[in-house]
Amino acid sequence: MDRIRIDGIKLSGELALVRLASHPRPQFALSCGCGIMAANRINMPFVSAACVGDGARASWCVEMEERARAKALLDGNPDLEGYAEIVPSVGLVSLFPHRSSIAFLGRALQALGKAALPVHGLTSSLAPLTFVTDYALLEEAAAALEVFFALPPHQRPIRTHVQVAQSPIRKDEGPDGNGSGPS
Amino acid sequence: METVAVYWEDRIKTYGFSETAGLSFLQWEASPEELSGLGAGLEGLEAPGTGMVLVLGQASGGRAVAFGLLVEQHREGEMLRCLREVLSEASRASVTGRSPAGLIHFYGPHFGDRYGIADAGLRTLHERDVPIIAIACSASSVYLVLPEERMASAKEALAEVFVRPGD
Repeated sequence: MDRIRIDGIKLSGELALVRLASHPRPQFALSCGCGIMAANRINMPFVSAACVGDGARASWCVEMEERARAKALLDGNPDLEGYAEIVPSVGLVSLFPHRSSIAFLGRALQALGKAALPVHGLTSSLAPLTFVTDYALLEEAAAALEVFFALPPHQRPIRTHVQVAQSPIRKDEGPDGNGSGPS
Repeated sequence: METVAVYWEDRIKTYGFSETAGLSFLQWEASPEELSGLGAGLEGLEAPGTGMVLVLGQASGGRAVAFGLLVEQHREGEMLRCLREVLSEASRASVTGRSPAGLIHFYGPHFGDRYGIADAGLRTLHERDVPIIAIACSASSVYLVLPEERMASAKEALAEVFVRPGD
């Protein structure tokens, strides 16, 4: 079997996964959940949701240190109480570029399936195809993917060490009030 | 290493905004034990120039993954047949196709690191009673899958909170 050539595999830091399932109004529940996260300045670096059909489910990732707060906020909302579930300690493994190829998706599913690795979620983006799996199994997931995909010579899966956070400072709270840019 | 970014925007700036019509949104569920066989079946479906537009999925507590795959509408029949062939009898009943569907995709600075981006899009659509079929956000991109006939009203609603390049 020829491995598919790729440019890279990226591994995230430790995250928690929030799941909303079986809500009678999936789009409302998702919108409500996202509103609660935004109002409390909790970032969602990964969102995957279907709002129609029997498979209507929503899931998103938050930073590990935000998991308890996110759960409490969701459970404290009368419209979402009892629908939110937290999967602690997950991570993202992204391989790129997928070139919009169904065969690429097929290979990735074979890799993770054959290695019996859990798939908590997935999405494609412009270049990467990203899977959510257990944080403790991220390296194993990368190794399983390398059976089916070939990295450039001498390149290894990379872990992200740079984190960008949005400041909670608002314009009217700024030092000079003139909206000067990123710091 | 952490970098702190400050954004003060009345409307959220995007670097790119695109829409695609004439699509079909396929949904199915697969157990973890089926993923390898499903992958092999999908690999055999590749045809030049007719790939996936978007894929997303969410696992339930029971670990079955609910997939959503957006493809060009003319491939719907072929894809549905393939999925029914490669999935187990238990999962086969979950295979459905929804068309015509449309996709709105936009991306912008640090979207993956900023709170409130998904909320801004979903809130304005909810307020205008625009239904969505699915949403996927990763890296700096937001993908909204909609009934094709609601794309115009969705674009209008999104323009209230997001600035398209060139606006």
